[in-house]
Amino acid sequence: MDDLSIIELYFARDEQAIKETDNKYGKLRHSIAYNILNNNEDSEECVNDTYIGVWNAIPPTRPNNFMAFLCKITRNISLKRIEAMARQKRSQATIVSLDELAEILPDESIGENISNDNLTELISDFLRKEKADIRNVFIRKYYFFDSVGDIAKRYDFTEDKVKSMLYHTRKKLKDYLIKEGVEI
Amino acid sequence: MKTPRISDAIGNLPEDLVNGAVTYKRTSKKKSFIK
Repeated sequence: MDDLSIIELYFARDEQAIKETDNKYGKLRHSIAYNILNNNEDSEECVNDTYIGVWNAIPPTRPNNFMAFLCKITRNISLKRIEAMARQKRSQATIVSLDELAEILPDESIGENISNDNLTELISDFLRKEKADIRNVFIRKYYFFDSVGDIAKRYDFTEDKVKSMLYHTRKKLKDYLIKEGVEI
Repeated sequence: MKTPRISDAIGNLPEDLVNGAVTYKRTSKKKSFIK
Protein backbone atom coordinates (compact mmCIF):
# COMPACT_ATOMS: atom_id res chain seq x y z
CA MET A 1 0.00 0.00 0.00
CA ASP A 2 1.36 3.46 -0.79
CA ASP A 3 2.17 5.91 1.99
CA LEU A 4 -0.64 8.35 1.19
CA SER A 5 -3.22 5.57 1.50
CA ILE A 6 -1.75 4.48 4.86
CA ILE A 7 -1.92 8.08 6.11
CA GLU A 8 -5.57 8.26 5.00
CA LEU A 9 -6.28 5.16 7.13
CA TYR A 10 -4.87 7.00 10.16
CA PHE A 11 -7.08 9.97 9.39
CA ALA A 12 -10.06 7.61 9.16
CA ARG A 13 -9.02 6.14 12.56
CA ASP A 14 -8.86 2.71 10.90
CA GLU A 15 -6.63 0.32 12.85
CA GLN A 16 -5.60 -1.31 9.59
CA ALA A 17 -3.24 1.70 9.38
CA ILE A 18 -1.04 0.14 12.05
CA LYS A 19 -0.95 -3.23 10.29
CA GLU A 20 -0.05 -1.62 6.96
CA THR A 21 2.65 0.49 8.63
CA ASP A 22 4.07 -2.62 10.21
CA ASN A 23 4.02 -4.56 6.93
CA LYS A 24 5.87 -1.82 5.10
CA TYR A 25 8.16 -0.28 7.70
CA GLY A 26 8.27 -2.70 10.65
CA LYS A 27 11.71 -4.03 9.68
CA LEU A 28 13.18 -0.54 9.21
CA ARG A 29 11.83 0.66 12.56
CA HIS A 30 13.05 -2.44 14.34
CA SER A 31 16.53 -1.98 12.86
CA ILE A 32 16.71 1.64 14.13
CA ALA A 33 15.54 0.64 17.61
CA TYR A 34 17.93 -2.34 17.65
CA ASN A 35 20.88 -0.20 16.50
CA ILE A 36 20.27 2.10 19.45
CA LEU A 37 19.26 -0.43 22.13
CA ASN A 38 21.11 -3.57 20.99
CA ASN A 39 18.44 -5.74 22.57
CA ASN A 40 15.54 -7.50 20.86
CA GLU A 41 13.05 -7.25 23.71
CA ASP A 42 13.61 -3.52 24.31
CA SER A 43 13.57 -2.86 20.56
CA GLU A 44 10.25 -4.66 20.18
CA GLU A 45 8.72 -2.64 23.01
CA CYS A 46 10.06 0.55 21.47
CA VAL A 47 8.58 -0.27 18.08
CA ASN A 48 5.24 -0.93 19.77
CA ASP A 49 5.49 2.44 21.51
CA THR A 50 6.10 4.10 18.18
CA TYR A 51 2.77 2.73 16.91
CA ILE A 52 1.02 4.55 19.72
CA GLY A 53 3.10 7.66 18.95
CA VAL A 54 2.15 7.59 15.27
CA TRP A 55 -1.51 6.83 16.01
CA ASN A 56 -1.64 9.85 18.32
CA ALA A 57 0.26 12.13 15.96
CA ILE A 58 -1.80 11.45 12.79
CA PRO A 59 -4.11 13.33 12.70
CA PRO A 60 -3.55 16.25 12.97
CA THR A 61 -0.03 15.81 11.52
CA ARG A 62 0.07 14.91 7.84
CA PRO A 63 3.69 13.90 7.18
CA ASN A 64 5.19 14.88 3.84
CA ASN A 65 7.52 11.94 4.01
CA PHE A 66 5.99 9.09 5.97
CA MET A 67 9.14 6.96 6.12
CA ALA A 68 11.28 9.79 7.51
CA PHE A 69 8.49 10.64 9.95
CA LEU A 70 8.48 7.06 11.27
CA CYS A 71 12.28 7.00 11.50
CA LYS A 72 12.26 10.19 13.57
CA ILE A 73 9.67 8.90 16.03
CA THR A 74 11.48 5.56 16.38
CA ARG A 75 14.83 7.28 16.95
CA ASN A 76 13.40 9.64 19.56
CA ILE A 77 11.60 6.92 21.50
CA SER A 78 14.64 4.60 21.41
CA LEU A 79 16.96 7.35 22.66
CA LYS A 80 14.53 8.26 25.44
CA ARG A 81 14.55 4.62 26.46
CA ILE A 82 18.34 4.41 26.52
CA GLU A 83 18.43 7.58 28.64
CA ALA A 84 16.23 5.85 31.21
CA MET A 85 18.17 2.56 31.22
CA ALA A 86 20.55 1.54 33.95
CA ARG A 87 24.14 2.29 32.95
CA GLN A 88 25.15 -1.39 32.62
CA LYS A 89 22.25 -2.14 30.28
CA ARG A 90 23.00 0.63 27.78
CA SER A 91 24.42 -0.29 24.40
CA GLN A 92 28.10 0.59 24.42
CA ALA A 93 28.09 1.28 20.68
CA THR A 94 25.37 3.91 21.11
CA ILE A 95 27.18 5.48 24.05
CA VAL A 96 30.34 5.75 21.93
CA SER A 97 28.38 7.41 19.11
CA LEU A 98 26.78 9.88 21.53
CA ASP A 99 30.20 10.63 23.04
CA GLU A 100 31.59 11.28 19.55
CA LEU A 101 28.76 13.74 18.95
CA ALA A 102 29.36 15.43 22.29
CA GLU A 103 33.02 15.84 21.32
CA ILE A 104 31.96 17.78 18.22
CA LEU A 105 29.80 20.08 20.29
CA PRO A 106 29.66 19.76 24.08
CA ASP A 107 26.36 21.08 25.49
CA GLU A 108 28.20 23.45 27.82
CA SER A 109 29.94 25.11 24.86
CA ILE A 110 26.77 26.04 22.98
CA GLY A 111 26.14 29.76 22.86
CA GLU A 112 23.14 30.96 24.88
CA ASN A 113 21.30 32.34 21.88
CA ILE A 114 21.52 29.09 19.89
CA SER A 115 18.27 27.11 19.79
CA ASN A 116 18.00 23.46 18.77
CA ASP A 117 16.28 24.63 15.57
CA ASN A 118 19.28 26.87 14.75
CA LEU A 119 21.55 23.92 15.35
CA THR A 120 19.52 21.63 13.09
CA GLU A 121 19.53 24.24 10.34
CA LEU A 122 23.30 24.71 10.52
CA ILE A 123 24.01 20.97 10.52
CA SER A 124 21.62 20.52 7.57
CA ASP A 125 23.38 23.29 5.64
CA PHE A 126 26.74 21.72 6.42
CA LEU A 127 25.63 18.25 5.29
CA ARG A 128 24.02 19.54 2.10
CA LYS A 129 27.37 21.03 1.05
CA GLU A 130 29.16 17.71 1.54
CA LYS A 131 29.42 15.00 -1.14
CA ALA A 132 26.58 12.48 -1.08
CA ASP A 133 28.85 9.65 0.16
CA ILE A 134 30.09 11.68 3.10
CA ARG A 135 26.66 13.07 3.96
CA ASN A 136 24.95 9.70 3.92
CA VAL A 137 27.68 7.91 5.87
CA PHE A 138 27.36 10.59 8.59
CA ILE A 139 23.56 10.34 8.71
CA ARG A 140 23.66 6.52 8.79
CA LYS A 141 26.02 6.69 11.77
CA TYR A 142 24.55 9.50 13.84
CA TYR A 143 20.87 9.47 12.87
CA PHE A 144 20.34 5.72 12.39
CA PHE A 145 23.22 4.60 14.65
CA ASP A 146 24.36 1.99 12.11
CA SER A 147 27.60 0.23 12.97
CA VAL A 148 30.72 1.02 10.93
CA GLY A 149 30.55 -2.53 9.53
CA ASP A 150 26.94 -2.09 8.38
CA ILE A 151 27.70 1.26 6.75
CA ALA A 152 30.73 -0.24 4.96
CA LYS A 153 28.56 -3.07 3.64
CA ARG A 154 25.68 -0.80 2.65
CA TYR A 155 27.83 1.59 0.61
CA ASP A 156 30.60 -0.79 -0.48
CA PHE A 157 33.44 0.87 1.45
CA THR A 158 36.06 -0.70 3.67
CA GLU A 159 35.51 -0.21 7.41
CA ASP A 160 38.72 1.83 7.60
CA LYS A 161 37.41 4.13 4.90
CA VAL A 162 34.14 4.65 6.81
CA LYS A 163 36.02 5.36 10.05
CA SER A 164 38.22 7.85 8.24
CA MET A 165 35.23 9.59 6.60
CA LEU A 166 33.47 9.88 9.95
CA TYR A 167 36.58 11.20 11.67
CA HIS A 168 37.15 13.91 9.06
CA THR A 169 33.46 14.87 8.92
CA ARG A 170 33.28 15.24 12.70
CA LYS A 171 36.36 17.45 12.64
CA LYS A 172 35.06 19.53 9.75
CA LEU A 173 31.63 19.94 11.38
CA LYS A 174 33.27 21.05 14.62
CA ASP A 175 35.31 23.70 12.75
CA TYR A 176 32.17 24.81 10.90
CA LEU A 177 30.16 25.19 14.10
CA ILE A 178 32.96 27.22 15.68
CA LYS A 179 33.14 29.43 12.59
CA GLU A 180 29.35 29.93 12.73
CA GLY A 181 29.60 31.03 16.35
CA VAL A 182 27.66 28.08 17.78
CA GLU A 183 30.51 26.76 19.86
CA ILE A 184 32.04 29.27 22.21
CA MET B 1 21.99 10.07 31.18
CA LYS B 2 21.01 12.89 28.86
CA THR B 3 21.64 12.74 25.12
CA PRO B 4 23.70 15.70 23.87
CA ARG B 5 21.82 18.57 22.19
CA ILE B 6 23.67 17.94 18.95
CA SER B 7 22.07 14.48 18.82
CA ASP B 8 18.61 16.04 19.27
CA ALA B 9 19.44 18.49 16.48
CA ILE B 10 20.49 15.62 14.20
CA GLY B 11 17.25 13.84 15.11
CA ASN B 12 15.34 16.78 13.61
CA LEU B 13 17.19 16.81 10.28
CA PRO B 14 14.86 17.53 7.34
CA GLU B 15 12.99 14.56 5.93
CA ASP B 16 14.72 14.71 2.55
CA LEU B 17 18.14 14.22 4.16
CA VAL B 18 16.90 11.28 6.25
CA ASN B 19 15.12 9.76 3.29
CA GLY B 20 18.24 10.23 1.17
CA ALA B 21 20.34 8.15 3.54
CA VAL B 22 17.80 5.31 3.30
CA THR B 23 17.46 5.27 -0.47
CA TYR B 24 20.99 6.33 -1.53
CA LYS B 25 22.82 3.85 -3.74
CA ARG B 26 26.47 4.48 -4.32
CA THR B 27 27.77 4.00 -7.83
CA SER B 28 30.98 2.07 -7.28
CA LYS B 29 33.92 3.20 -9.31
CA LYS B 30 35.24 -0.20 -10.29
CA LYS B 31 38.14 -0.32 -12.72
CA SER B 32 37.39 -1.86 -16.05
CA PHE B 33 40.07 -3.93 -17.71
CA ILE B 34 40.21 -3.91 -21.47
CA LYS B 35 42.05 -6.82 -22.98
